Amino acid sequence: MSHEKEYAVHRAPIFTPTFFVVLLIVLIGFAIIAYRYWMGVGAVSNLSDGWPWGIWLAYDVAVGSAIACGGYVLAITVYIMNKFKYHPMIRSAVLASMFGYALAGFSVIVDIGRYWNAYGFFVPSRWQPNSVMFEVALCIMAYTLILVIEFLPSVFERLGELDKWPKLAKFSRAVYKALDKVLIFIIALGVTLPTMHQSSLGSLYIVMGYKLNALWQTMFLPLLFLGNAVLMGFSIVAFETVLSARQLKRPFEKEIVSLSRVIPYVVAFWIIVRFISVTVSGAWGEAFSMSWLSLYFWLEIILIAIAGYIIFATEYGKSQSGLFLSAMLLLIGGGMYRFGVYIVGFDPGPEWLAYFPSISEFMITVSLIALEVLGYMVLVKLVPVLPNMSAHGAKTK
Amino acid sequence: MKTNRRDFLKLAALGAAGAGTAGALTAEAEASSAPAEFGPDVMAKFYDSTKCIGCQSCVVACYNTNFRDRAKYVDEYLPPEEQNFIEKEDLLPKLAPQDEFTPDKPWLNVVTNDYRFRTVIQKYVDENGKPHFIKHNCMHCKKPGCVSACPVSALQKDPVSGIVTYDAGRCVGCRYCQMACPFNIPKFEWSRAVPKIVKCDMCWSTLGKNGVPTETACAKVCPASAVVYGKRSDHLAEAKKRIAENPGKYYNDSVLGETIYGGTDEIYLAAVDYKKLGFPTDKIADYSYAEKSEGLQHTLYKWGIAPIALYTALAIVGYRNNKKHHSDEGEDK
Repeated sequence: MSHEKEYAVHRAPIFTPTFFVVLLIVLIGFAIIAYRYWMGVGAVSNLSDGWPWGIWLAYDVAVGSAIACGGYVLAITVYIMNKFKYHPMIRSAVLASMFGYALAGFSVIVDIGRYWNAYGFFVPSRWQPNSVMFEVALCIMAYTLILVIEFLPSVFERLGELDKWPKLAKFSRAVYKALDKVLIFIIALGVTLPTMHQSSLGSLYIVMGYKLNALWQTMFLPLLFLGNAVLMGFSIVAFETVLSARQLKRPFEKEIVSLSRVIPYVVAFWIIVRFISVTVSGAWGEAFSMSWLSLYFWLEIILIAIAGYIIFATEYGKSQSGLFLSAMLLLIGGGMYRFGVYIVGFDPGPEWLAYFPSISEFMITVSLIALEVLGYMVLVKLVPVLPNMSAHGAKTK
Repeated sequence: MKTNRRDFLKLAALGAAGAGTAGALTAEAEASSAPAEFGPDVMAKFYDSTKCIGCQSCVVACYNTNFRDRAKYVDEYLPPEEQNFIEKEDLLPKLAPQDEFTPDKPWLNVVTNDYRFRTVIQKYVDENGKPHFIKHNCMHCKKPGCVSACPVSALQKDPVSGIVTYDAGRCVGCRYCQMACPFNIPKFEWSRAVPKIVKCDMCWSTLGKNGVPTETACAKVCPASAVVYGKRSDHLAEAKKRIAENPGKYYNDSVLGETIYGGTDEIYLAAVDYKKLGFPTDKIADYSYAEKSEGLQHTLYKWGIAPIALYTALAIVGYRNNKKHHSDEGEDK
């Protein structure tokens, strides 16, 4: 089949100076994590009974999993919208998604206090289907597994090429073929599950009622989070494409320009729903009160709107740097929206000191991101993930 | 592609079943989310702020029963992390210099519930310099946010007595209960490597030996009968009687806990605005937010139809596109 030509191993040394710098950050973070397991969550974080959720959930889970929606968005584009010309981009997106979700899962294990009881999610007598968290947890765990399966073809493809172990190679080729046949059903599940849990990441906050500011608290939370996930998924694909073109000195994949044409429509839809939700909550007074929260709210919307405008109306938006800029704006604006719900718009009451993450909390998050980067850097050099430029340029005419 | 129609249907059905499971489970619990009325045997505590003398005996009694001597009351074996190890600084609450006991201020510096104190007495001094006391602890809501939030059923509402209980053996420590509580009641043991959630369970796990208790530590010791324990219906009737007998004595002639957040199993009477006493009554609605959130979930996931339909549609479209793509490629070659 064509797959062998579609992707290529990135031929470059693994142990670069960057590798060791990133590794150092990972090790520092893991030392702090060890301390947290010894001394309790309170010893490393600024979390309190009023602010029990901090950046580990706001960034690593909420924003991190939205950034990891590249695989989700590309799966929709390629297999559901039938745009197979984007197929060469899918493996790198799936790899990034896999690491993004692994990061989310990892920080949840750091965050939860009684991690040894986590097996309870698989004990039917403990299931609590009313809980939004229950659905989010199961869906995210299932989707991480799906992402691993979606990534397996590249591993087996590589193993199939090994001449040193002919038996393993033969076996891998057989598995690759079998996997290829059923993969579309796995992919369909890989689209269903994020649709469910990305929306539920928003639904989580409905039960908090007044504690979430009226600018963010709405029954539209699931829809807004889903739209936000699609937006951020698109932009991370654009972002990664431009970045890998520059960093790995690969030619620019022009597909991304035409792929980005959808973004303005999603932006428009999202902002309309956002405005409807503010109207329904009766929060326009709050929005124009010129408080810090209202400024945050407008900044979030303006960043997203500008990105949509650049792509929709300007020639600059079709260039490499223009696309990079709008992807950045979308990621920041979209990330701000999720932070707005998870931390900024949250207020348990006047008796609690406002939460700001501690240095150790930051470091743990940074080290987990570093781990993700490290894994990505190593894997693209081991298995065929990135688009094979020589074959691929000729094919997509 | 070799996959034939039957294989396709088989696989699609399998996937759909998987996708639908979570949704179906959610829908299954639908009955439990309907706003039920208070049952006849719902137990409650009734606290009359105007009777309270602020001695904090209830705080000490609760601390002794549920924290310091917890192991004494709990018969069966407790895993070590369940027993409260007494750390030196835990024995007595630390007092800041300005909070030390003086004849004018015989006051325990426990400003809010923490993992040692499941109940606290707070003092509020009004414009005329008159002190008012208020007891803060779990409200045992009719439709508790914490129970709705808990993903592993560690927090449960006893269907008969309405007591909201906590099972540390199930808890994963995600703290969604803390986020979901409109009264900010559940507390987490932040400084422990083996932490748990702590909140009032009306002495269910100690004096009640994991059943409905006949008395609670706080009500038992109260010298002024400011806090009493019994059936909610009796308490509510008594509260209304007191309001009727003393018009104007109680704030707004209202009972806190009758309707707030859909009603709670704690009944309060006070002479001043409950807002000033630390209850965000202006922000909390007369219904439980848990009903809203569960209502939405159950609409989206009713019988798991939506996820199954979504999956099936995706699988069919994806399968067709994929097949077409592969055959196109074959023709090219």
